[in-house]
Amino acid sequence: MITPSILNLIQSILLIIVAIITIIVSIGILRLDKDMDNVVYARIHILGVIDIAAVIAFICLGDPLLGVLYFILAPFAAHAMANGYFHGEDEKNNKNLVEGNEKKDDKKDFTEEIESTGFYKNANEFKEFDDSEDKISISTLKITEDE
Amino acid sequence: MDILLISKIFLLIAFCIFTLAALRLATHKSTTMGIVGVDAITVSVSVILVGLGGIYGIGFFRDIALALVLLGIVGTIAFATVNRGD
Repeated sequence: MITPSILNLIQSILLIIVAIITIIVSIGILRLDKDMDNVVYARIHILGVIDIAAVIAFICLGDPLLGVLYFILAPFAAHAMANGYFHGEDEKNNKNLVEGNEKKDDKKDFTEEIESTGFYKNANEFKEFDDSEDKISISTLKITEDE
Repeated sequence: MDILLISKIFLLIAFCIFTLAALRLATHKSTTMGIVGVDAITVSVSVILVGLGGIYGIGFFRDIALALVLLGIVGTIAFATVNRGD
């Protein structure tokens, strides 16, 4: 039979363990060498410890709903941060970000889109067709009332 | 003072220290480190709010912590998606 005093003792021990883990993480995350390779991934990994510590703390503080919710949602956030860093800023590992090796844009050229409609046989025909002078002649016509 | 209150206060102090560490983390140069730091601050502030609400018996601290956890993660994922370049 678990009495309330034993439950309080277990709660207290878990909270103290979480507090010690949190202090260790705080010191460790600041002492991490910033010139190290892949340091951002290492920091995200270290913060995973805090995520689980926070889940235990939420449950021990009498808020299991918050703990379960955070337990489910925290990996999504960690993955999004690492994924965003890899595709957005990580020039060491992602070769697409290195200059001159960029991925070609998937969007089609404007002339190719017109060509695909079938109005012009090819893009060169579209480029040769120049109606700029016609427009000028129309715009400079003198229209009188007699005509 | 019972041992549960002492452990709660110890936990709050530890998370306050971690909040300062996360603040330092958020001031790093790259955008991702800012996102990581702010995410860590969100979690630690949520734990502090739940702890303080438990000690002083303030009910709405728990609601604030719930909103902070949910919106913090949504914001983190949104900023990370923008940082990705989509």
